[in-house]
Amino acid sequence: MGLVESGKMPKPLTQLLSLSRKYSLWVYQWGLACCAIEMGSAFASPRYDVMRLGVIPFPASPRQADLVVISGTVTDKIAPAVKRLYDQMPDPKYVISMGSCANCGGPYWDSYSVTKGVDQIIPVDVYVPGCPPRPEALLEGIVLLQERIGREDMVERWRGEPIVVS
Amino acid sequence: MLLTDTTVLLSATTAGESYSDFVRSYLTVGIFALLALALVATLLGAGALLRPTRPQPGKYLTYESGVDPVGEGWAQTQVRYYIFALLFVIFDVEAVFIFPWATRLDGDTELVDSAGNVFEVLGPYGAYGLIKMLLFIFVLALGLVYAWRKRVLRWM
Amino acid sequence: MAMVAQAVPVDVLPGDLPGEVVPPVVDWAALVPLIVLALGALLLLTFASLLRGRVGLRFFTAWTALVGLGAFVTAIPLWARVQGWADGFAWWDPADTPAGPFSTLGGALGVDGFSVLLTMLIALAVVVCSLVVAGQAARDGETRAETHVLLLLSAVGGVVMVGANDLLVLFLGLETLSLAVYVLAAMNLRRVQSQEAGLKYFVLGAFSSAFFLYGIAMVYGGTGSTSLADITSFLSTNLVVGNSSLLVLVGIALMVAGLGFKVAAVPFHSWSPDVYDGAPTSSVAFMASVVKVAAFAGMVRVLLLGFDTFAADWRPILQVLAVLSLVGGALMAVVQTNIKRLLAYSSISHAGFILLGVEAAGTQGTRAVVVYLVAYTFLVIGSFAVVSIVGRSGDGAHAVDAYRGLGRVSPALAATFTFLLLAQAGVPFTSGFYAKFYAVIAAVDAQSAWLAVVAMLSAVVAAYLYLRVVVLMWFTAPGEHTPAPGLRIPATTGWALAACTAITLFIGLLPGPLTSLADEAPAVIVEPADPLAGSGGGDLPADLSDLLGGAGVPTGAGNGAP
Repeated sequence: MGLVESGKMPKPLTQLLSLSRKYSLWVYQWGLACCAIEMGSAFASPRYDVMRLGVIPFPASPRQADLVVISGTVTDKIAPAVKRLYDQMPDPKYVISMGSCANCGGPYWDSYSVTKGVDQIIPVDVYVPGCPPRPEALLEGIVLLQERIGREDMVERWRGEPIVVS
Repeated sequence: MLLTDTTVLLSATTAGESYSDFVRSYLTVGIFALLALALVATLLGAGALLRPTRPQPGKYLTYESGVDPVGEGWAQTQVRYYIFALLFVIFDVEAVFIFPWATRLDGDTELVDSAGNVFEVLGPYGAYGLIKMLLFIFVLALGLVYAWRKRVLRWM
Repeated sequence: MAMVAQAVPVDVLPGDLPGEVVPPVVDWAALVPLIVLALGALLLLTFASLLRGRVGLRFFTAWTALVGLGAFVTAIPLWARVQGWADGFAWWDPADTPAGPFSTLGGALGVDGFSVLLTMLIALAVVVCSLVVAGQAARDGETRAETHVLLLLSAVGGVVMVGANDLLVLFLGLETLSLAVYVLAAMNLRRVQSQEAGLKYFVLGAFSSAFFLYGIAMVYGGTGSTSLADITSFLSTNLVVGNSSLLVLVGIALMVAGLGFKVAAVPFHSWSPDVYDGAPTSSVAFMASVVKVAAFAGMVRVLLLGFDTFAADWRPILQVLAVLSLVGGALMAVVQTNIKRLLAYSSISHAGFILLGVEAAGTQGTRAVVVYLVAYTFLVIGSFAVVSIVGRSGDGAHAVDAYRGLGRVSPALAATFTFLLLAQAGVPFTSGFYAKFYAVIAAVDAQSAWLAVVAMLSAVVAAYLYLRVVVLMWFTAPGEHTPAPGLRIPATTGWALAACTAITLFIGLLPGPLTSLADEAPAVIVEPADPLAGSGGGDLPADLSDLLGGAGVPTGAGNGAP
């Protein structure tokens, strides 16, 4: 019965909604490998504080998160867990792939046990390159995601498109 | 005093004036209740209207950090929590009785108001009141001894 | 500008009365039975927990029996004072306080023939029940003291109820009585039916206590007091109509509902078969006796002493309850296959008979109630003692089939049970006959002869179910549920059984002493003594001495007392 999906919301209202959404992201507390260290310093340290962007790194459960940052190598063993945790997040959800391993397999592009790029299993909105990327790079990725959220077509997003390029 | 209040109230029913005063005071309560309901309805309703509805089977899985959930959702609570809560309630109520008694155990027998009039008020409870309260505390202390010897005060 | 005292001075708290704290008049001698029971319970609890392992079941039973006997013995001087026995026995100062009923604790408890007699009955019942409990515990291998402690604590509540002169004090007694009995019902940890019985009794009992309390609140709203003396004087001096009378009537109805639950009158009886079935049999003996005694005493005090002016309103209610209990209890008992449920329904029909006495009101009614309660207490304790013996270890064998051919297996036990069942049926030469006789007389004298006819017809139906068990015991062959020959009768249960049978036979052959005691035991309200009387009450303003209650003058007249 959603108002947004029916497409009848006037533009100022959707813009207001997008504004409130992009500045109140809740990030799922989750890290896989060395990029998690950098992510931790971006989220938790006062120097690269991410809360000033409105991103709150509180939820330790996917049920209350709208953003997940896949930081680290996605091995074949953890890949089903990643997929399941992504599935357990409620819509609308966003994914940032952080670091080379999550982007494309990175230095382990030739390994027998690594999923080369998390976008093989879940749709990714923003790729943050680096090995590991500096916290500022992650922050720039988040800012880019916020800009995307601000510009995206809410109707398409609400109707289920995982990636809305705008 | 209460007798006369009751009869006054009941006899004024026929007059009709105090009746509406009485009800009007409950109107505030009624409006407050309605507002509370309306607030909850608005918040939940706005959420229902504005959120995307995409039920997917993956969202209904039990969360266990991405792995297959094992075991049951039910766990047995240990009874020692309940026993401690029970003992706490009993001794808390005892404390609630002791506080006001303590304020009057030894007090004034006269109060003077701003106009200089002297009134004799309810005096201190004195020794009689002390012994009564000691009896009360003693009986509850016996209960504590019983609980102690029954080993329910041990946490593990 | 003026030095005139204001009506409400700002810095004196509301509710403060000019004067000093004066403790209420407490006649400590009247409280001795109560103190003996309560102190006995607390000390038993403390000793049992401190001397854990060094004292056993015999100590607990002996202690409980001694405490019960002590309460009985200390109630005798109170009886002497209430009846005004002659000089050799006068232990109080006749010049100071006249013989006759009096009240203590500032009017909270009343000591009159009714309450003293029933206090003695409760004390004796505690003694006998503790013997039954000991027998069952010895056989089942239980060594804990809690059962005896709970018996004593419940008896404390019962003693408070039989003497209450204030509705809130009655409620206190009711709760003390009930909470201990709820735990007693659930004491058998090995049977899940016991847990179920305890939970059912607790939940339904809590509801009924809430109804009772709401009734008290309504009555307070309608009359302005919870003290029975004040209620009576208010109702007799003011004509209560309209909204106020509605409050009082609703209050009476709710209180009757609350007390009706406790005595298991139909339609408030549904807890009774399940609880009697599930609870440990020795506890059921206590529940069926002392709880009913206390609850009926409470009913008599509240209705006869407090609401005499509304008798035309509550008598029909009680008549209906009596009819339903008599008929319902007898009919539903006929189809039972479990002896404990059968006895539970028969207790319901006995409650109907006692209600005949309550609704009759007046001296005849109170006498009928007292005689029936005395007779019934020992009957039911004896019956449940037999059931606990036949139930054997584990308290599980309670099908009526277990009594097949008991006459061949254990003739003495079967003979005793036959005698007790026939007494419950009301056969002459047993106490049950005189109990029913006086109840019927009271009903006829109170112009409700139709009720007496219904009662006698239901007694015929009930006789069928008792005779059925008797026939099973003597005229059928032992079946598969019957206990084997050499059924072990625990010693203390045997003594309890002998005592109950002896008392039943004695009352059946010589009802005179009991009836003359009951005649001298009317329930009476006495105004509480004015604590300021000694210090010159003339200093106080007039309205104040009204609030504190006038001089200690008995107002027994006009309240259904002789």
